[in-house]
Amino acid sequence: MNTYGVIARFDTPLALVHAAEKVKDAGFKDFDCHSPFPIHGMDDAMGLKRSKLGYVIGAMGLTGALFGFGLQTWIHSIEYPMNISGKPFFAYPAYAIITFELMVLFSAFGAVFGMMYFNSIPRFHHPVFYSDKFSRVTSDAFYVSIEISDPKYNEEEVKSFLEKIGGTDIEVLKDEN
Amino acid sequence: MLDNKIKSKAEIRAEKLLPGNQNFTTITDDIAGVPESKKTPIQWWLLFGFALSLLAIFAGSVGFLIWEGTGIWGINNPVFWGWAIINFVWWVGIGHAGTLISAILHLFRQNWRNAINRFAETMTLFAVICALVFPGIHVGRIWLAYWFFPIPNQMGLWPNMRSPLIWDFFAVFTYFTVSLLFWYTGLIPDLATLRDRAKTNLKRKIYGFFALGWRGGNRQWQHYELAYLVLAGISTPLVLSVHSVVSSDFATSIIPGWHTTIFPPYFVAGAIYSGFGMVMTLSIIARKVYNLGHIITVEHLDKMAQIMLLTGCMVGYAYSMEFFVAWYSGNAYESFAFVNRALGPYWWGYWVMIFCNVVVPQFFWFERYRRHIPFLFITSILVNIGMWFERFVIVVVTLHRDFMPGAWAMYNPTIFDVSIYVGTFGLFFTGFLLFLRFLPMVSIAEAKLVLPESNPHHGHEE
Amino acid sequence: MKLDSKTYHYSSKKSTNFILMFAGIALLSIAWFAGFESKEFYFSYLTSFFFWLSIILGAMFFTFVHYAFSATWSVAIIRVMENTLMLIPIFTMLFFPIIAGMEMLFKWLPDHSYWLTHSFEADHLIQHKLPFLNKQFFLQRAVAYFSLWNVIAFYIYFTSTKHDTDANHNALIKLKNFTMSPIGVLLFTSITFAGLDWLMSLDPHWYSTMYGVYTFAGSFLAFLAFLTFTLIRLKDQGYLKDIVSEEHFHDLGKYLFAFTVFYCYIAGAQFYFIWYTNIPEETIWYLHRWVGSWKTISILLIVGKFFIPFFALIFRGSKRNLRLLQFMSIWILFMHYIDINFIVMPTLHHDGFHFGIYDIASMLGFAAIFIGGFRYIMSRSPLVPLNDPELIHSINHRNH
Repeated sequence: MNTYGVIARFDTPLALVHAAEKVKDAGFKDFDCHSPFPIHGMDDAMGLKRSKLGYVIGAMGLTGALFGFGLQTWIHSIEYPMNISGKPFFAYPAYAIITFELMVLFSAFGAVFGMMYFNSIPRFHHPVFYSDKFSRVTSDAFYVSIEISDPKYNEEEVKSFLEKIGGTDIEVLKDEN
Repeated sequence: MLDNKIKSKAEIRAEKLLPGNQNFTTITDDIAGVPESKKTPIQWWLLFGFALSLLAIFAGSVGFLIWEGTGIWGINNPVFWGWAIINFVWWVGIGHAGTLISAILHLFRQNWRNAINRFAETMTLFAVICALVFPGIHVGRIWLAYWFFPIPNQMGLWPNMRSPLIWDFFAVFTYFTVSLLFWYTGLIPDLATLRDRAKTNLKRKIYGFFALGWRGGNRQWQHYELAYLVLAGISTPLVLSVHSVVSSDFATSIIPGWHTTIFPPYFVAGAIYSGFGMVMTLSIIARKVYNLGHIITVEHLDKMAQIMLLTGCMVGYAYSMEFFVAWYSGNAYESFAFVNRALGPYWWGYWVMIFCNVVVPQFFWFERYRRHIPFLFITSILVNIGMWFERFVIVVVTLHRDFMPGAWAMYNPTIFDVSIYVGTFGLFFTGFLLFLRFLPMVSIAEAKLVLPESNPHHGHEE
Repeated sequence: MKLDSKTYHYSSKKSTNFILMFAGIALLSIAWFAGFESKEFYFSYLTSFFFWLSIILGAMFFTFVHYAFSATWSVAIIRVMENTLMLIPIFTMLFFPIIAGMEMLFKWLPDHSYWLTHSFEADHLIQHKLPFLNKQFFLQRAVAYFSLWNVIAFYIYFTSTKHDTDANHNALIKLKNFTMSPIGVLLFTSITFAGLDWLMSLDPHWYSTMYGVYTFAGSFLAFLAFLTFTLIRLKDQGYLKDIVSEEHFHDLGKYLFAFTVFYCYIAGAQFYFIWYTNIPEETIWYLHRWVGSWKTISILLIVGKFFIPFFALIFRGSKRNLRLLQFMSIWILFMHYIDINFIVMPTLHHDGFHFGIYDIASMLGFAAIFIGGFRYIMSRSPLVPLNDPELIHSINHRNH
């Protein structure tokens, strides 16, 4: 039987934001705040840096645009030049649309798969799922979890700390075997 | 001076959009309760049976079309573009409102969209599938439909990348893919909710598989929100581009009545207009069948009616500009094309279009009509009839009297034109009803954001 | 929360503003006097006139959107827009030189010098358009546009400023009812036909159904740039402290970005279908703008009006960087001037771009009148709608 961390429940989004600030100020690193919906100002409260996902999306979008424009230029100027409606082989205004569409398509892939990469999903097993009560977090409960990998982790201290900052239903995450 | 005792707009909005004493728990119960419930409403079964029978008609007609060829349609000289393109443009247009609601209104922080966006996005998905059917089957030899793709043939010849029809393929394909990704991304937290509430192990496994192990941590929300925002950001120009590209199928030609520069924004406005009509129809039915009047409120219907008024005025503006410039240009062919629309043998098509798209939405200047549900229901259907006729006027009425008067002819649709069109409703409603039954029709996570207590700064502003 | 009243009471010397306006009028008068018989003057005057007028029309449209949809975030900056509207009476007066120079500007008048050597009756296209393009109807339309714009400006401005003193919230309902009405349709129609009358008809053979939207898109973008520039300037001078924040500029940056793209979409689509179809009577318009140094101007517009603002404003950081935004707003206004010049001037100078003494004089003259008038109007009322219950939410508003 291994332990993975401690979770504590809070009542409202506001309580969770305050808890996050206190956990951050106490010096914990490997903690997370779980809620049924994104909470405004939580990133600041937890001291998270801005997501790097934007760069991934930008790079993907640029790739898509270059690929689209390059593909059309290559097909119509190099691979198989054909006279179409008397326009030059390199009729670049006509390439704008496919260039744009591929830019959007690639950016969308960047956004969704980049998000999955940064979030490490799909991941079907996670210690927080060992708690039964925790399942309410996708409905109406607000939880703070502190993981065992945190350098400051000490089960008893963490438990009393979470209790002190107003957490209830404090649970230690343990697997079944 | 600044400490007004007036309620903040956020509070008023929340009261109007989520009336009654609601909290996070009741929202989850109400919305997730629908797919979880063991009892399926009898109306659902009736509608589903109806949709399935239409789907059977669709399958039969398409099967016969593939067997026999496009000769079974009414297309003939000079009208070689008939119902297939009309239906294609019509269905793609309907899809656009879904993206608009999800994306543009998200960017404009219009929270009211949270109650209807899932709905609208799903509508987009199935509408685009219905639209994609038509280019797929109109090629006749359907097994060669892969010629759409940028793949060279045995002679090393590539599809013409400067052709609007290839642009169409890229645009609609991108649109479908991005809409699917957007829809699915929005669904992930809700699937996790369904997973956590699942009573049977099988349901838990299925929902759990698609929820990808979502656990609602803020470290996840952080990337998730950015991804969602960016998807909204790129969907906005995408949705504008898709119908602009569809309009280029016509506007890059030299046919009088087709070649006109206002086509892109005019098509986009028309698409949004018809799409909102369809969202209105569907949401009035769904809130009736599932008693969701407190989540999809009259307030939402009012807002949608306002957008229909706006876009209805836009298409009215485009019709007038086209007519005015057809005269102003001094081009005899251009003027003829427009006079022929209004006074030619198909005059009724033109005036149905004007009545449904320009006259009917004028009632929405009055709040009374924007909140009158039976009126809204009838209007929303009229709008889609009007928009179908708009495409009919553009496609058939323009072509049936072309440059050579000796070839002028009327267009006679056959039973298969009708059955395939009606059949796509079967495809659409079957998909949509399955969605209503098995997935949350309102975004559970986002519906909660309308409650003031979801904002930790609520009440701490001053 | 209490705001320091110094931050929202704009103080500027009345005399300075009046001297500025007077100097502008004097400059325009001298230029008119000198160029009374010269086409150069009237074309330059029309270019500058439309450049500044388009800012006011853009402001009118934004005000309509703000009140019709009861927007929250823009409450803190709405008064700056309303102040811009009040320049419309001056611009009504400034339209008279254009009426006086109609024969110089518009080829569809039989008195235009072109018809000294050509037969007016033989031009069947212009003959066909005479029911629309004739002096009488043109003037009637101009009267209609200016009446409408003056009514809109006065109604919105005085209803809104009255709300400052009497705190009667009915004003907001009145404004909502006023804007959420067919008057909005009239406004858009008037912008369309003003563009058709004053710009498109310079080349009376040519036509485009997109032209009204094209005029609107350019005007709205120009106004957004002007608004951004003004707000940054006010902040630099110490006004609107604690009222207009980085968040508002972020929103304005988003709008600038979005409407740069929208303008590109509209102008691009108009070009695209004409280029693709290649019908001589339509391509001629773009062909005139692809000869001599006009070609450089065309390319400058593609790069400067789309690519530069697009890449400069795409990043989140740049929308929150006031110095960059300030530079971009000046740049966009500059490109808007080039754009109007590109629309108007090739009718006069077929061979290439010219920038002469009349261009400078009318641009400076209009700028002096506009800025003097604008500063005067700003000093007459608080810079924010003090009694709007949403003001506090606008001030506190946060972005994604």
